[in-house]
Amino acid sequence: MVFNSFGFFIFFIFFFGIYLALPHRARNGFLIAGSYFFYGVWDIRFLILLGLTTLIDYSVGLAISRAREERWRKGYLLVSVLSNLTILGLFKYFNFFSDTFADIMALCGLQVHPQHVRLFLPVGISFYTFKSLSYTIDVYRRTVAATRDLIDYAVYVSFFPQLLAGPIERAPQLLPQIAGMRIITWEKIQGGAYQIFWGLFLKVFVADNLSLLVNPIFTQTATPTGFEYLLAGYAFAFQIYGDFAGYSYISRGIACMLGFETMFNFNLPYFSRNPREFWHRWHISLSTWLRDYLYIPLGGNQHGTFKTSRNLMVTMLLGGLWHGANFTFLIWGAYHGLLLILHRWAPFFTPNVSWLKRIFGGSWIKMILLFHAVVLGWLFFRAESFRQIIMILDAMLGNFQFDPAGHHQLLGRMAFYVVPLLAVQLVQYQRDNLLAVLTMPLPVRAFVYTALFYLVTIFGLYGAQNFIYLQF
Amino acid sequence: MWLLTKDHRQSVLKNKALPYSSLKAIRVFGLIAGAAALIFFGWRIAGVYTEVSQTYLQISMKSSADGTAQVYYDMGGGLSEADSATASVIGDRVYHDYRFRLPHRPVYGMRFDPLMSEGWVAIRQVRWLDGLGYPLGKMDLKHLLPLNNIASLTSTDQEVQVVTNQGIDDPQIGISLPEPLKVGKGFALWRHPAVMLRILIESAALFFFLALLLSVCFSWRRKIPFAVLLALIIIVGIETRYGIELPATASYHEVDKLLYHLQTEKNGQADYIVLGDSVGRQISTKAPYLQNNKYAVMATNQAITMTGQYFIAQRYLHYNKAPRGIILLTASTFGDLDRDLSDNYIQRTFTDFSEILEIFLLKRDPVFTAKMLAYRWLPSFKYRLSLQKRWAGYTNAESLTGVPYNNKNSGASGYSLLRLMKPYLEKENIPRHHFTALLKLLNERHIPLFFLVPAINDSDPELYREHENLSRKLFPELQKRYPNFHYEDVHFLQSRYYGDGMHFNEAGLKIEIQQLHWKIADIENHVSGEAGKGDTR
Repeated sequence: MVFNSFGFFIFFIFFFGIYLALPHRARNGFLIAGSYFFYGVWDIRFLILLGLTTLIDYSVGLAISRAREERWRKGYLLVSVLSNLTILGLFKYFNFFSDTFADIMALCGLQVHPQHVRLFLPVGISFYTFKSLSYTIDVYRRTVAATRDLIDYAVYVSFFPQLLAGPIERAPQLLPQIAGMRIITWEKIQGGAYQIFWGLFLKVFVADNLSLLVNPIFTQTATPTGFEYLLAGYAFAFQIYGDFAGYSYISRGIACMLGFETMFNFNLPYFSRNPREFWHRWHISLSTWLRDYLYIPLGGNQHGTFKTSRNLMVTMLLGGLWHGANFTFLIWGAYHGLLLILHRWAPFFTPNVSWLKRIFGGSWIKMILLFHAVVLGWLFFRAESFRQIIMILDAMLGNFQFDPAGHHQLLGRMAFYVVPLLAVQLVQYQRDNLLAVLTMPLPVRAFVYTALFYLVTIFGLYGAQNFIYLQF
Repeated sequence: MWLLTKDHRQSVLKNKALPYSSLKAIRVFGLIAGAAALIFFGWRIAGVYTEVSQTYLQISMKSSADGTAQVYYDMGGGLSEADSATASVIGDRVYHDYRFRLPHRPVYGMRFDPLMSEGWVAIRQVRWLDGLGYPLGKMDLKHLLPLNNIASLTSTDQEVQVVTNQGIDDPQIGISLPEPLKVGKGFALWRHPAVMLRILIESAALFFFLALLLSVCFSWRRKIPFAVLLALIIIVGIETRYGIELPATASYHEVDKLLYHLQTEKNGQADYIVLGDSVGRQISTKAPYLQNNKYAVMATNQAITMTGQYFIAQRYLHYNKAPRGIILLTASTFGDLDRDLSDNYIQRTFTDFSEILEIFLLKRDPVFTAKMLAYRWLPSFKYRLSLQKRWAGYTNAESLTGVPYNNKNSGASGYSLLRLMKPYLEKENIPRHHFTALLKLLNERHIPLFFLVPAINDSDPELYREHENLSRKLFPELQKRYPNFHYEDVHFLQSRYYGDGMHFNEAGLKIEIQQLHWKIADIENHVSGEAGKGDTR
């Protein structure tokens, strides 16, 4: 069951109606039942893994909090880290590493037959594994107290608005809300409903329609020109944003209606002026997770430029790998690592020339430049294989071929899907408020609602595409 | 109220602006809602008037080539582009109705350019209609005359066949009018009582809806509900207007078109109706002996399953006189409502409340029912494929990817909870149930049903086995219960007689048309014999 399906719509109406009528403690039990049903609709076998992860980390959390000696605390934490990474590694990365090992051996002249395990890939496994892992680490670091209530913890891990594609909400923010009394106000229902609506627009109007432009270019057997790849890159940039931010808005809207205050996972990322700011605005829950549990433990930026660069690269490589077992993701991670390193080193190499600063120093110029750098990264991310990445670079540099007559239709179609999004985002950016539409005058808001309704109803694609990030 | 926290509930109860807090407040709210409903009612009448008062020239025509047809009206000042109307022609050699807007001034003559290239067309009917498709008049086909680039124009009882010269791009047919064509605005209240009643009911519903929303909005004194209310009123207005306009102009699929004509024309006087799938359609639309008023050819496609055939028969019988027999010409068997295309077709096209309720009771699937209701209440959603093409320039293939199928990828694994629950929700195959219901319905009305199966491709033994199973096991049993049910044994044809494996090529089609001719002769003899027996008794 995905958020953009009729099935989910009916499920949520029933679920929400009953949820409102229940007292607080019963609501938590009902949330678990609803979340397990929601996940079981995909595959009931997934529930075993979810339950296992919940039980292990709940027990480890308790054990860490009760252990007096540091070595025992570390030992328990190791159990959690190893069990989570083993599950993730087995289901997601085993075949990839097995193939890679065989390829490396083959390069050395040794024939090794890769071992494959025929396992299904549970949707959202990377999200809830990271979420659960962050809890045990936080308990170990004493930033959160271990919960004694298994039901509360099970709600935390399986919370259905965040189960399939995050955000990877951290225990200090979510667990107290689960344990405490939640008040559902009219404002929360209104705000939640608007976010669900906006998320649906991003997904079924922006993202899914753009996928019709993007997919043929990456899958067709004929060789696209450099311009077509560039156009596909632009389109994919908005597609992946619409897809993932759409999911995150819907997730936040649902949580809001259920009485929770969860994080924004995206904050207008294409309005960033440098790579560092981009990662503060894009997939915020993952980038902060990687920062807190990987980059800082590696040393962060405290041990000189070289080590900082190394830490950045390692973090971004693992961030790339988190997205999936494929070299294209690794290359994408490395590319972003490189951008971050260059940004860190840039002040040392930038000549202090006033005209240069005047041209490139403006916010909008920086935004446009960074956007193009990010688009290049998305081309690597979207590529079907390493070979296609080479083809893309080759076409961009040697076979650009812009043909106004042939491409104007593609450009027009892209504008049709992107302009309404950018119009609202400009308002959000200028008012520095992601829910700026809710503060606009009544007639304008009524117009926005009506326009969104028709764009979603008439031009939305229903059920044609799953959310991209469900595979991660 | 019960959604709120205790504090909010108290603040709401203290609010003096609540509609039920005083008689005066009730009057104010009643007045506002009444005024809004009245405005809407007036606007609706105006909308219906504008739409219905538009008149159309409708030409029923088949063609050998795709292109654009254009009608020029001579209103005393000669022919000009400004006084013309166009329609896109589908060159699939099947009859389609093309509509051209008629001016409201007297027309003294017309010129019809059926194609933009060489080819042939056959014209079955020329008539004029009002905006809701109600026929206002009809033209004798003898008034069609060859003008330019026409090689031949021959008339038969049923149609006029026109062949163009070779290598030309502008064939022209003249339409001589014995007297000026004066088609006034087609709107007359008495002709559309159902529409007026609907508007009245809508307005009453709108009144109560507005009163309720206003009470909610005023009590919380928030701006968001007002904006939502305003948006809702706009949407309801647009959808209501779409509900009138789109069925006539944007019916994209053949089933939509068929149902629209069934409901609006109500002039079926056929002795036999022919239902069926796309193979049945291929044969029945090409068989020359079926192209007259004695037969209503309504074969569509396999995707509607037997459930759709049942609903079509039900609707036909509701609007028209009972035929002497129904011929079900289908290569497919009953079908399955859970296939992507099937569920979409059934959800989208058969949205009478009785049909929605029937499917809900049988399928017990709230999602399926919700989709049917969405299609029922949101014409913009139902006719989205046409709107996408019209507004965003989608091509056909891209529009089709936008058909809201169920997403079979999500929750579709063999281990999905929904899959595991399905046997407990759906007790039997619904199309099969509807086949029995069709037999029951026809038995009660004493209408015989003839289940004819076109030849099965010999490279598809699976389909052959399915039919064989039916004719050996189920059909004899059904025939005992419903004596008006008749069926035949299935037979093979070599695969070289098929184009795409299922539909026939030219040679195969020739054989099947001949076969069907013989079968229909038998059926007519049988029906006449039965009627004779009845008379004797």
